[in-house]
Amino acid sequence: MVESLASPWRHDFPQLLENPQLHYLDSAATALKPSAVVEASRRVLSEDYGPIHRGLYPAAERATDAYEAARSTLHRFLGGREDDCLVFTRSATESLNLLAEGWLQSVLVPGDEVWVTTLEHHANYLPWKRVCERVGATLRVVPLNTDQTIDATQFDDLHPRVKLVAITAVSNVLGVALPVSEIAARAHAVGALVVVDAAQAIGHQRIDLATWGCDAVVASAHKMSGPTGIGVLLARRSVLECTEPLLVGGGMVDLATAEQPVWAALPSKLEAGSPNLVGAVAMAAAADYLSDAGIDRVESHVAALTHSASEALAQLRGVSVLALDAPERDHGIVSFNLDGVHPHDVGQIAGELGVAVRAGHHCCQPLMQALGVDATVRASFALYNDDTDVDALVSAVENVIDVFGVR
Amino acid sequence: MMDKGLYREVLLDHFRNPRNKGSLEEGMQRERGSNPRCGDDIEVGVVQVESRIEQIRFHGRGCSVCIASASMMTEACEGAPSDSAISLCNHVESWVGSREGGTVPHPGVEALDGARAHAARHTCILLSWRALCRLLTADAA
Ligand SMILES: Cc1ncc(COP(=O)(O)O)c(C=O)c1O
Repeated sequence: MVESLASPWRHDFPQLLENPQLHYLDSAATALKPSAVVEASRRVLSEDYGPIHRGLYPAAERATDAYEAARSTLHRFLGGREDDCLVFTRSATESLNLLAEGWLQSVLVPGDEVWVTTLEHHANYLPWKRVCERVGATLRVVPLNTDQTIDATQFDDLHPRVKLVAITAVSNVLGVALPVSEIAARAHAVGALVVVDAAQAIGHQRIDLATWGCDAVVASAHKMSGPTGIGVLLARRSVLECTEPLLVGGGMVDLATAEQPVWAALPSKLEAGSPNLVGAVAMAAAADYLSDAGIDRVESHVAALTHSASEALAQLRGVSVLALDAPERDHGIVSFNLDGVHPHDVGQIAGELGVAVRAGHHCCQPLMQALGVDATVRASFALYNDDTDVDALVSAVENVIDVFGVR
Repeated sequence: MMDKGLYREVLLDHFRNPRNKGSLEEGMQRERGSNPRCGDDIEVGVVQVESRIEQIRFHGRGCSVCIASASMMTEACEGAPSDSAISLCNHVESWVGSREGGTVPHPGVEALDGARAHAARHTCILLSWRALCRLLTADAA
């Protein structure tokens, strides 16, 4: 049976209603926002606004309650355990830097190792690399296997000198998923911690820290249809207890005048400055929206679109779809190249035809190097996309083929 | 496809059949221009005789805008006095930077008018011109 590619959620997105000609296929960069998120932001700005953890009057109490309720919602949404703690940050990038500078820096000794994969976004690569270099530890990059994926057996030779394994749940270039739980089991067997970068998975896949058995997960709100400027780090309390704050200042200290200032308890210790109330509330609204939609339904809708687009693109003259034969693909992303045509030209022409795709290295230069390309064209799908978007993409690429006379 | 917009026939023709493209000869003065963000990477080579560009070539890879612009540059600069080539480079730089309006620096670059409207393509257009400008000004200094 052919699954319907119509989207029951499309009409929830004002930007698509306003621009019926827009085929937005760049959700892996940042996702459009449903009215529920817009409305939650409006409400908190106009009705529940106030300082957090700082006032004794009703508006301040309401604001504090809203902020803490958002924390609980997201803790649940990400499958947090009771001994996990959720810290609000600005983004997945900041969460990873916080762990690298605040935690890894103090546990690594020369000769230790950190393992990442070739698929990692620069955000899940450079923070670890910098700390490893500073300390004299080794950053090992697990290579892609022949079907352009990473499998758990590549972690069979983890050893006790490995202190951290940092992996993405889904590649933001190839759309392949990693076997997170199996990798985590191997890492834990040698005493290494596991950090999962869920930035890409979060918009259309269940994130479940407990089931994955990982120690920390990071994500940004804007990739799950929340606003920019807010993200999370959800991690074992024991890890965050020994994480030094990157920022010091208001709200994160109990006794500032002591010779050794006394930091506040978690999570405040890691949230210096006035918290981002609007961001937190809107991010939680995005989580609620996805939960109401049914994350499993969203996942299968996105997978069906991705699959349909990859198959159709692969039929076109001169097109090569990356990781086409990989198992565990179709997680919302299709990357491809067109013979003799630079991805920027494909992206530009598609853009002129109302099809928004991304062209470039997608902040994954180690992966580009491994694939032997400078850049790719990337179409990415979210719950609001449907078959008309797939058709528009295919016809845009056909148009490029015509313009450039690809043979 | 079109003579307005970015992908004008003239531009596509320079991309498909770039002028003066190929390996640089021994003894040429060379300067490389590369943009690791998109993988555009070209090298410009010139032979100057009595402060005049006797010969100019380029090689490398890049998007259509980058290659077409380099090709147009070689046509516009071949035979020109080196100092007027420097002025032309500077004029192209400011014409592109302004995105619209201004006088076209040289009839041979008019087809870049559609591309300069897009700020994201400025580096593609200017990669070869900047390389040539560096080469010539370093030499003049
Ligand atoms: C896999 C992955 N990790 C991390 C990030 C960084 O997210 P942000 O820029 O929101 O911090 C991204 C965003 O592109 C991503 O795709």
